[in-house]
Amino acid sequence: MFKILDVPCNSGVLLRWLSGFGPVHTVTVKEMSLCRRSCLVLPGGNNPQVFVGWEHAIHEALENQNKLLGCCGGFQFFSSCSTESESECLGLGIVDAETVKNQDGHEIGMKTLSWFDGNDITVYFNHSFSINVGSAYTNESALLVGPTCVAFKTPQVLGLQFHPELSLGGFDEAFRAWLNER
Amino acid sequence: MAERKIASILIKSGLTVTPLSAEGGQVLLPAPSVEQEIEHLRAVKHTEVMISSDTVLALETCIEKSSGLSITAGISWRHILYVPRLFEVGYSRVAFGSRKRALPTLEEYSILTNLISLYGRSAFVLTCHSNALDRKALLRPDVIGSFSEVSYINDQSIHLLEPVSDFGTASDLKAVREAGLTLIVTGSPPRELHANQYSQANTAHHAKYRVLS
Repeated sequence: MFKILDVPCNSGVLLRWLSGFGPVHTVTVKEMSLCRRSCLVLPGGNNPQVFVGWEHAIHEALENQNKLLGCCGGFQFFSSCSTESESECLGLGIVDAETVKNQDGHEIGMKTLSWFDGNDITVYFNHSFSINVGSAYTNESALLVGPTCVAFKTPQVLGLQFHPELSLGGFDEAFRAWLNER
Repeated sequence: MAERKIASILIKSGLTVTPLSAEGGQVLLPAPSVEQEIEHLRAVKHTEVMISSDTVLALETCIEKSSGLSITAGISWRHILYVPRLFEVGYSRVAFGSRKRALPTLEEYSILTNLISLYGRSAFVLTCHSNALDRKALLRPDVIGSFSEVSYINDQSIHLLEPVSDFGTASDLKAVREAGLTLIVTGSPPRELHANQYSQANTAHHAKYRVLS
């Protein structure tokens, strides 16, 4: 079951995409403590500051063995802080870095990446900010394009800079594989 | 380099607008299902569709089942309060600006600032049509700085063959380039269409707008 955090976002298209994988509901901060065996979703199409105030609830949900998916703005909230929102973020610690403005400006469109399993995925990006780890960074849980982290993955947490719901199905198989990871 | 293939759909008073000839004029044909058009566009590998309408209701209802690709809602500034609703029904971006008015009022600009604090700059596009007043809109850093992209619609173009970089030399678009924004230019190729060529018009409609990148 998917629980999308009740924050401003491009909720309609995300809800439709997720419903192809299972039941989908929105969840408030107070309801988060009740979540078990769910996949909590930090949606994109927003400024990471919309998640401020959710930090404790997200950490608690992870302790309760829920999976966690973050897309675009939601993914950036996993970083230590964001210059777009000028605020502290969750600092999940998987990739200890800041979200800063893209050096090359706004990036939008479809790009092909080599996913963790070695297969190519073609996915949709639309962002002016990104998690910058620097060119010397290495982390087997992180997918890097130059100095930018475009995704990270553990069995419990999946963070994506791109929009899987706008990727013409190009990420569906990889997403299904992650859902089945324990 | 990210790749894009963009199509535009215009819904006016419930009808699909199609150019009649290179000299101007329009023929209004019954709108095919916009969702069917979107499915077709997805099948031919479009990555984005912009749907513009003079009524928000038309935008709300035309993509109830569409998913999987980025769809931008093109609205006039006076409909800015409908933005949250548009995101709820499935749009991933909103473009502001009509042929009649490119710039927001002070109140609309204040609302836009609040929306950007929630949805981020990447969610919003500024639309400018090819008239002198709209070009002036591009010169205002306080306006274009709020957006990640400008959609410049050249309504009078016949053949739009110049690459986008050439438009950057024009002084009226210089501000866009200096702000580091993405610029999308669309134009209408010349087509002779008559009401009894409806099926041809359906197909031609997809080629109505071209995007240069």
